[in-house]
Amino acid sequence: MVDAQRKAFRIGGALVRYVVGVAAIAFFIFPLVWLLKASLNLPIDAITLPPVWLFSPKADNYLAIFREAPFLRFLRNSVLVGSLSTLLAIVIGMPAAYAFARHKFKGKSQLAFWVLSIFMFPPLATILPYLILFNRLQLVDTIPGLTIAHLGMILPIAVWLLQRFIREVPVELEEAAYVDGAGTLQRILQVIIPMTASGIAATAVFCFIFSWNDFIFALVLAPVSAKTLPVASVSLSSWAYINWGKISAACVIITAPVFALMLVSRKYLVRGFTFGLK
Amino acid sequence: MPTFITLLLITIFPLFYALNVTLRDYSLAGGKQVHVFNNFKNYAYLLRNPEFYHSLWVTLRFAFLCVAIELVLGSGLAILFNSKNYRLEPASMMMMLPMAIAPAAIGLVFRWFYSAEVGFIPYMLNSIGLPSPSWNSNGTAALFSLVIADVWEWTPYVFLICTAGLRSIQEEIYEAADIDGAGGWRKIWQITLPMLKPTLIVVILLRAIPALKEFDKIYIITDGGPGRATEATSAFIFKQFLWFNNLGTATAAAFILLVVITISSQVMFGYLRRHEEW
Repeated sequence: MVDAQRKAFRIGGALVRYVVGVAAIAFFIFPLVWLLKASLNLPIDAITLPPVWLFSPKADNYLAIFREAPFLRFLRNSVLVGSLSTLLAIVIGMPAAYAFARHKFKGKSQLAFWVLSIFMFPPLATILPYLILFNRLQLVDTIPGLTIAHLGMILPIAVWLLQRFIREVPVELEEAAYVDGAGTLQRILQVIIPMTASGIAATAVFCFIFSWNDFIFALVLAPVSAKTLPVASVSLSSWAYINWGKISAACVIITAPVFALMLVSRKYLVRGFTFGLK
Repeated sequence: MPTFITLLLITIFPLFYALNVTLRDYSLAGGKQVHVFNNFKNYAYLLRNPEFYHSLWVTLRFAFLCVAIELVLGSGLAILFNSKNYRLEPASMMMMLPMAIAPAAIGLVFRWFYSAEVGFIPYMLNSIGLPSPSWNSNGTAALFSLVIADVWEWTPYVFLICTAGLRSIQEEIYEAADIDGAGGWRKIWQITLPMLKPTLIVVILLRAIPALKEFDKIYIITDGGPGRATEATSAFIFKQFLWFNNLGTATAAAFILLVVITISSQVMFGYLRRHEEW
């Protein structure tokens, strides 16, 4: 009797889990499926309710945004700003991360606080001073300007993640190199970088995604000619008649590369998103 | 340490520059470029402005609702699927998508979903016979529309961190409880949740800070409306900047928001330190 009851409980539990699991995944995937579907519809079909799920895919929306708005340029801006700021963050961040991971010096314990304080900063508190500064330096609405601003945003994350990866390299390896007469720079180049290559790649992926997804920096600092994809797609929605098909296509274009990068670096994802705290 | 100095220059300098800006009359309008020290007028103006207090109140309510709902859903799902029998990798890969997607794209999709004419949510609610609240004109509904979007974006994140936390609880404790004849619920209340507490505090910290400075989704989905019902402090700051071109006041408001964020996170940090986990 008790056994039968237990068994019923177990089956019931499994059923509940199954239903909840499927519902949760459906809930979190649905808006994305919706976007993909709408982006391949004709504009009029994209907003039809109830939605028609069986249709022949059309590329009209994609062609339209590239033809009617300079989306190719926005795409180029996004790629440029993202890769430049990522590259700079890694190059500048690597020596700093090494110092944090290996040397003892005053104020080292402040690193966590420093990283977190950047994380706590409301973005507009840094953006507006940047705006005033850039206004003076003629950097408003330029690729270098936005790159510098993004660098300020992602550099602390880069240093933090990199120093976690460097810490995992055994000190003995470096000591061996030191005995062989390698200087600090040589040790970084010949021991640390090869040993942390996958960590560096993961850090780069994160930095790139942060820059690529950023909305508010780009909105204020690059409103016209250095406009990036997120700002461009939001500005598609500011007209009286909103063409949701085109917007979906733009959103898919923003999302697809992120998805690809995530697939590549899935091992490090949780760690990156929690700033390596976990 | 030359890299260090560059590093500090990039991140610390704007901070002091920003502080300087908050004490002056600043605008980008051409011509008058005299920025005089104005006796803390910006702060005085804000501290006497009921709209500013209202925005802080909106921010706190938004952040509280988001963090509470995400915490309950995320940890609940994690506990439900906490078993070695489940291979979570494929599912968690999919669940990671929402947090990696550009907030701009998320904002656009949800704005579309709530739209009275072509939105999926009113359509769904109506087709199952429920009245749909007017998401765009009812203040409470508008706030919840933002909360729902945020919950969609970040619950998977909470789920993933909690799963990692649960995996680190030792099996033996459960086995001991089994021997003592503890039931499923008792095990959850008396073992799982207390053991998960440090993880939950980290989650609260990592979610509360971004929620307190949320801007992108608010700007895109409601733009602070209807009226000022969802005008969180970030949106208030942006309006000060965009409409009144008052950079001093806007930056000062951002600093007050920073103080609010710092105080609330210090409370949580203090708790973490006492529990020596971190």
